[in-house]
Amino acid sequence: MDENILKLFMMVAIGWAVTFSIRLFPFLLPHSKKGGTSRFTSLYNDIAAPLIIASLIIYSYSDLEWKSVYPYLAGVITVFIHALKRRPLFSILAGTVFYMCALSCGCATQNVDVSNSSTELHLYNDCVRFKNKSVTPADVVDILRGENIPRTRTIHILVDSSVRDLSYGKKLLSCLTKAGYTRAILVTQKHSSSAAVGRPKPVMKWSRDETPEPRQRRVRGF
Amino acid sequence: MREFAVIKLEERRKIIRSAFVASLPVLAGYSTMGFAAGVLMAVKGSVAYPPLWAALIALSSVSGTLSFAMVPLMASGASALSTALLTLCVNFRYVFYGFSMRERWRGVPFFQKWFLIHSLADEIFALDLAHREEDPLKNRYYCLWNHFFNVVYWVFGTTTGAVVGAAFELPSKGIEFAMPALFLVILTDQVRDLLVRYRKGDKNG
Repeated sequence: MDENILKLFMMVAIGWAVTFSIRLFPFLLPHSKKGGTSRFTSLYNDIAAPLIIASLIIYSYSDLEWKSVYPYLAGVITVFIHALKRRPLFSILAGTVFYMCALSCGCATQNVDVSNSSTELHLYNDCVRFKNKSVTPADVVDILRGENIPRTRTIHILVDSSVRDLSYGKKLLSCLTKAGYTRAILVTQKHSSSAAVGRPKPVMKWSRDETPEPRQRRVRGF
Repeated sequence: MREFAVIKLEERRKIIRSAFVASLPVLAGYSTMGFAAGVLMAVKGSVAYPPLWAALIALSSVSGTLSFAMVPLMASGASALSTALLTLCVNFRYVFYGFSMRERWRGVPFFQKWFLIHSLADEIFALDLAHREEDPLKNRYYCLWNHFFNVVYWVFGTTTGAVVGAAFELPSKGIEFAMPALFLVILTDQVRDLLVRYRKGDKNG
């Protein structure tokens, strides 16, 4: 069986086992004559449970566009409606729809999936990497041709955060343009915290640099 | 299930009907929430055959929060430890439901008890607790049907959501906010309960 499927089965099994153990735990304890819950459990219920849920909220916000104001606004809307109406479904729906609308209107930063429909080159201070191999700008064109990458394909040149001088990138861009790869663009990294060399994330949050038209891309001297 | 034969057929039907009627408000909630969880699984779960996984998670955990929380875990291929820890954090509140029900379900046969404990989720617990029946046998019969109906709603909602999410291009951008929204709602309820209890405590001196 596929390793991924096994891993998914394992995750589901762990989820079931932990949840069932939590539910089963009180039934395994000996029945006391006094009955009722202990002081510890009531203390847990009062303090620890809200704290855990609060930490889960922080955790789940990390998957959102947390640098923009919209997830927080959506959160306020959710809490406000729930405090007023006490209808979980309605408040969840309202907050989610607001957040979806905010993203669809382009209010927050958009994620650009650079893994599927484009070819990636990684630009560092001293080298260019293609599929984790260091290559020279002159070789890039041959390699792209060798890989049968069509000239109409968008080529993202992902600029590492350490790169300050873009002249090397412009040289690469020029080489690509001359070879007919007119849809090459320089992409600067803004949000990814660890674009370590050789460990590119499958989906990263990049924002497009202001890209000149192919004609304007030509830099004097190249 | 033979022990329920001592309850008259007419009464059994009445209990099943009352369990079904009581579960109808949950049907609206579970099917919609389950639908959202299923869509999220199909759109963001990054798994093949999302309806199968959605149904499996729904049936195995019978937990709305875990169904939502599982999506990013599955997408990122999280480790066993992080899955266990997150499940523990998300579902630890269930332990209090057990404390409330353990006296009521004392002496229940193994498989029935297993099913009752397995499906002891928020809304189901609330319905169990709200049902006042002196006869423990009738009470158990009600609880079993109540759990059964609600589990069916949850699995149906989740699977339908995953099927629709996988089949159609739904506007899914931002749907991941449903998970923090769910946590926010739970936290709001917890804080409100805490405040109510403290106010009552103040009044009682």
